[in-house]
Amino acid sequence: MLFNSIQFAIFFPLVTAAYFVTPQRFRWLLLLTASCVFYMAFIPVYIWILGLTITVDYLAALKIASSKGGIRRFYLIASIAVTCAILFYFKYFNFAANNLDALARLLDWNYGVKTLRIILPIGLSFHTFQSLSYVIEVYKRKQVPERHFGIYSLYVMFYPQLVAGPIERPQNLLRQLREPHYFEYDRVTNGLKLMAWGLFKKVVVADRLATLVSPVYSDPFAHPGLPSIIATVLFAFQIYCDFSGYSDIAIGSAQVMGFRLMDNFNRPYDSASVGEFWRRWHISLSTWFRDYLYIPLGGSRAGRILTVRNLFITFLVSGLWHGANWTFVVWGALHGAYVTIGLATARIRARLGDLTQLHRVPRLARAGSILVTFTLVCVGWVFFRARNLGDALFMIRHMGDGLPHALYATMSSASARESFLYLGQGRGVFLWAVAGIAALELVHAFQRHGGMRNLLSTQPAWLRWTFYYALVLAVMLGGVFTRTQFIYFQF
Amino acid sequence: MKDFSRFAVRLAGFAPLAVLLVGVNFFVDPAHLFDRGRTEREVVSALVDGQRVTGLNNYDERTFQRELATRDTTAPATLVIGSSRSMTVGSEEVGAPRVRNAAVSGANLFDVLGIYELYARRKSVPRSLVLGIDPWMFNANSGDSRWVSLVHEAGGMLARLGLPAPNELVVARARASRAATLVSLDYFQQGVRELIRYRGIPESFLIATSDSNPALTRKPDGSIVYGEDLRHLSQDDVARAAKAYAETSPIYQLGGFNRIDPADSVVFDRFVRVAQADGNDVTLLLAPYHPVVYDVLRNDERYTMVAKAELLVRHVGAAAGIRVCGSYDPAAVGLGPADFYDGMHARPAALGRILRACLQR
Repeated sequence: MLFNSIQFAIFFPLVTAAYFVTPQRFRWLLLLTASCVFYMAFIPVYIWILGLTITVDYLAALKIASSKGGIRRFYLIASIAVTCAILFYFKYFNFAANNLDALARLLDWNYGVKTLRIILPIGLSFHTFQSLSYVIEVYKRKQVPERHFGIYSLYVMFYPQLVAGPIERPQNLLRQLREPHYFEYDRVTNGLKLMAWGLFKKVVVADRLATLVSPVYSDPFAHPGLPSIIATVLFAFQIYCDFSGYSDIAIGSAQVMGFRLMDNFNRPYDSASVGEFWRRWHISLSTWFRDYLYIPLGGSRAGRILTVRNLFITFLVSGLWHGANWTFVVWGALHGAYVTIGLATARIRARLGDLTQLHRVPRLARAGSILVTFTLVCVGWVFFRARNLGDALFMIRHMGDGLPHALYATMSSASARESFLYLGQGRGVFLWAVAGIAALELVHAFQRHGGMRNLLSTQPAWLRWTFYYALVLAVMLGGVFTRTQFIYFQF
Repeated sequence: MKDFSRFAVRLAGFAPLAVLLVGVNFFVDPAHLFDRGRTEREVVSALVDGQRVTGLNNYDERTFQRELATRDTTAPATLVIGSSRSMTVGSEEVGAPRVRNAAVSGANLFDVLGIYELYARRKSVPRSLVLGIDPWMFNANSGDSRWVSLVHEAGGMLARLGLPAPNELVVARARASRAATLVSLDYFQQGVRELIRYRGIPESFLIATSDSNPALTRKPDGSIVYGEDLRHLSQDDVARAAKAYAETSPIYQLGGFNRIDPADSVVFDRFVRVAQADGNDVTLLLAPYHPVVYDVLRNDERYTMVAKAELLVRHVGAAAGIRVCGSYDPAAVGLGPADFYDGMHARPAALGRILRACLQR
């Protein structure tokens, strides 16, 4: 069930109303049932895969808690192996088989493993990671195992964050599943406002931008130069609005019922370095990799070379987590390179700042860093969005083609504007998309100065209601409602 | 309780927006879903008088077909039933006179059965029957509910096939889906666009003097001629449209196509045999997809059932001794990108080549 569907518009108020009228001791059952319905709206039979992961990790955690020494470790490894095997089978088997096949052809070997014709279960990587974090936390003795199978199942399946996160930690979510929640006006309305904002980002901004971005990325060879730059910049906003919009709806819908999910985005394009970007982008995933991969590998404690190695491994795995394609691996490696080069050149850049006296105008220095970071991130998005490495490399190589001419032409000719600026989709579509980005940045500007909610709460009622009406009307008139999936569902 | 009352009062503040949504959807009603068939009756009157109508973009095509089958008493020699992918097939394409095209957009098997039943009831089943069979007709998850307008006719035909009428739950769901259009935001946007474009509620359709018009035109034989926007697309534009179509997820009506629905395959098999037993010369038409789209249908694991649907149609055709014309694969029937309007609609000339060559066999 998509958050931007009529089904969810019926499902959510029904489940929420039922939640508040159901006695506390049965609420877990209601939410678990609702979560099953939510998940089964995609491909019903895949609920069994989820059930397998849940059962394995539930039993493993109980065994880990009641065992000592090597046996504990055995259960942890067994649990991780089974959970990851499921992930590998559905997500990476074909990727591995295709690459082995290519390698075998290169070596003139006979390689007979056929690829599988299966559909990736929706949100598999998300609930796999959430399940893994529970087992690891129990192993680290930071979390007592949950003995109630239903409550544990709900922890993995809690519908607001089931298919695209935020990837919750057991310490935050499990406890809340037993807490009583009451209907509180402020919390409920704040949750609904967050959902409305998330919906705006998804259907008005992200889906409008998609109509401009997709034609360029589906045929990059026909769009070298300025169009590919514009499409990439627009994609940066598309993926941000798509994913953070989903997170806002997830967090908001949980908040309405009284649950606090972790923040997943914090204005990532305001980052002054790629390292900072990763502290603001998909926070629940980057902290997962930090806690369960980077730090166990040794983090930054074992010298510079090992730090670089650990960073690279973390980013490569992060890239692969996003998709079984070399484009994602390169995207991860690129970010690994950005962060390591950023660390290596920190002193040089500081000296450069001293020499140019940029530190005297910190706002300008930060603006420059934000621009450089955004550019680097956009280069990464080319690999993330492109269909394959060939397309991505072509786009990178040809981004500068005819740029001065294209820039001049867009100023002087309507037809050039249509091809180079509006990407062949018409002025109206382009202006809608740009207006959406402008609205987004306006809200971000308010967030920098105390938050939109605080600002609105101090305004007279007529102004607040004008804003609410404008937001709802923008969604009604400017949204795309053709059942477009969220980009991160595929992961 | 106090918090809830306060919340309910605030929520009521959004009621005008809900009224606006339902009001535009009901009164502007761009697809004429809520005007109780008035538009369809008027269009049929014009067509029965031998006129062409244009500017009729949205209406209930099933209700229109019922009206047409009831009001037009001339007996066609060839009846074409299918989806929009067969809707341009007329006399020229079939190579025979007195063709009636009764295709409806997004047709599923219930539509095919229902429309056939319309002609069977009036005892004017033609000698020749061309059935445009699309892969989604075997997809239980296609999610289309438009067939519900022909639920009684489809039920009648199913009874003749010895099969139960459409499940009540399925019918109820389809009806609910139509009722949900009242709160559809997509429909609301269409309505607002029409209000702005025509500065009010537009005329339902116009009478045309020729086949070629700026907007889509329906000819007296029921077939259509696309508007200038599609007919005059450059090859680059068609390629772009096909790519965009191929990239929609899921591709039209093919979402959740995990298996050939066994119930649908039984319906299809029995129907072609009953149609044959009625004395029809049955032809099964597999309208090709654009090469770019077919490439995706062939290689994307979500669409493996498309090839299996074609195999099923060929198998049923062979078992019943029925001609199967065309293929979803454009290369198999010698079509290239120039033979298409977009990702899923072949040009009438291309469909004509396929049909004429096949019918002569």
